[in-house]
Amino acid sequence: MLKVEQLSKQIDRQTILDGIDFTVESGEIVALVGRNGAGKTTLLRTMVGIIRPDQGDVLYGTKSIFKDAGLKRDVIFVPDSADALKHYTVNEATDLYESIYPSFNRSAFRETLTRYNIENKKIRQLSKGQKALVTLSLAFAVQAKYYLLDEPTDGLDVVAKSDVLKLMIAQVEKRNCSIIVSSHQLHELERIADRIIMIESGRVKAIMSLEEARALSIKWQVVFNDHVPVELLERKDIEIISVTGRVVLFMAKERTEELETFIDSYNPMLIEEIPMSLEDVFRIQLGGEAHAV
Amino acid sequence: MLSKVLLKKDWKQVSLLWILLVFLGIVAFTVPVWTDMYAYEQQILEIKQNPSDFPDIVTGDVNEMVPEDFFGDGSGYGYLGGLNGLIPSGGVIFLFVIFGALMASVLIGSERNSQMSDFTMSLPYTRTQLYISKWVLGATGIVTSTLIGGTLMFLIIRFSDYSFLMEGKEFKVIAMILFLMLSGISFFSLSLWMGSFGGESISQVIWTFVALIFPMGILLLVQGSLYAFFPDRLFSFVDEAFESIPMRILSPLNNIFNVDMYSVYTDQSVWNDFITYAPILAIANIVLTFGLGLWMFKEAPQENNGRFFMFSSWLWLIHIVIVICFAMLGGVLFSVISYPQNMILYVIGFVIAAFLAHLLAKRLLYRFNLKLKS
Repeated sequence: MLKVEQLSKQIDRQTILDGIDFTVESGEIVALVGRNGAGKTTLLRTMVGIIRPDQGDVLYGTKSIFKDAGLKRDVIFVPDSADALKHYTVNEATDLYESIYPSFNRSAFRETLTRYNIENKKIRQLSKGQKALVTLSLAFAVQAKYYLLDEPTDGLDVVAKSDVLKLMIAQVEKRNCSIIVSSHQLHELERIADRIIMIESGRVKAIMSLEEARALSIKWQVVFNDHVPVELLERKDIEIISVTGRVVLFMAKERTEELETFIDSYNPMLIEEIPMSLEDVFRIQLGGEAHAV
Repeated sequence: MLSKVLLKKDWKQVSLLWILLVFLGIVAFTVPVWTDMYAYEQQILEIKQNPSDFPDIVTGDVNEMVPEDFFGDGSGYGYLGGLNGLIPSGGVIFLFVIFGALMASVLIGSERNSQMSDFTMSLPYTRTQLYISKWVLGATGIVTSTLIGGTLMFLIIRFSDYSFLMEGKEFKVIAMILFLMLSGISFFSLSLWMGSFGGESISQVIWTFVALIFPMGILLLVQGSLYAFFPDRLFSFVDEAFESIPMRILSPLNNIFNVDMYSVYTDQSVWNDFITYAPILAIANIVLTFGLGLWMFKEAPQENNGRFFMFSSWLWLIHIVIVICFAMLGGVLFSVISYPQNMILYVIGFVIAAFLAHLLAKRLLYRFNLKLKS
């Protein structure tokens, strides 16, 4: 089990992480979501011991990552670009990983290379998608217990994204490892994540399953008899997505009785609840000041 | 403690410079010796062709003179030169200063410039292991370069017509070669230490330059400032400090400047002084810079990669030191406009330079930081 305990970090007198606290169980895929600058990358870098926290700890099992560097044999951090290994050829990178990690499975890595038809070139000469596949495949071939992935599908085309996601799912199914993945590609996280950790201004805003996340907020399409009431459009606790004639589509941060009573008071012709995507949840929960209650 | 894997990883980064250092080390040790010997040959030929022009040297039949006769005048220097001129210590030191800084900046600074530093820190090794690996790799470059270059130089002299210059002084030559090697390691070690808090390669090189001149520089500035206020008094503390053991430990350049390279092979007291202090103080410098570098590398906040100075809570101190040093420099430069030195001019120069240095420090330490980081 991975346990993040009251992690706090200030950089340039600004609080980047503020009492972050959560656990990740074996075999879980946890999505780390939050707006740009929320502290996701700093959190991942701290979790692997690159950055030291001002307060708090990160425990893998019972051991602190800051006290036992050997733990990192089972904790692999994959940053959002393959720049670190750009001067290496694929084979050289394989040799390097094999010499660092005794558990490295060369044949599993070769298999991935063959499947995706990746040649032994310098990593900087590979396409963006190939780079992502190589770095992830290298990481997964280590057969570690924990993976911290920072924007693994950023900038990839649809096919490459799908391949990366398949790789991640396959690892969890095969080896029961834990993956903590930070991404802005919410519709993809939706497909793979067991739980979501929402980060806002360095704090954990919410930890929930996808179902819980969807249930937290509402997305309604309401058809009124006459016109869309101005009072509804002026409400601060909802986000209007569209208004077409008598039809309004909006999201609300929370399902409240007051809101339901308010809508009912206008005797609408139809109220339809639209399923919320993770992107909708993200937008209404973390959309920023403009959408705050 | 030392990891082969890390050595392999660091080798990938620095191999080109390492090989170049070994090659240039061989060149720096041997080519000047060849050149000097060629020059001796030419001069001997000239003397032999025109013996009447050199009555001081040619006292008998010039054709019966052997190379030794053109050097021996009893003083040890000889007419054409001596062993001191043959040992190319200056070139070798220059090479080690440059390559020490370059290798150290590739091993730490350029890693900090890229994501390589994050990758390295995420590997299952302690920061102590990371630092030791880098240090060992750089130090072996200097050791290899010296051992090959120095041995070749020794053999070239030994088997040349001028081997008599080294006769009975073989141990002194070997000691000098080893001292040059220790000095090279101390330059590299100092530069690597600078990388433990300089957040990227350019900063690291700038800090190395500052560290090389700072110990003596600050004393000279204090002396210059005192002369501006008390032009009639004599302040000898700089000379004393220059030769002092703490200063020689702090600055590898200072340690080298304290060795009388011209007399060390001929004057027994100079030799005794050299062999008693210089190598030990070079080792002391290596221990000091390695220890400080290791400690600061372990403590450096990784989130400040890319900054001019990584320990942001100490920026105020660096700011004050920059302002004071430049202010004193400005004061000294202004005060020497008149003779004897003028105190008022010193104060004017001090204030102007302090103000300009304050602006420079603000830009360098704060704005430049952010620019590099972004």
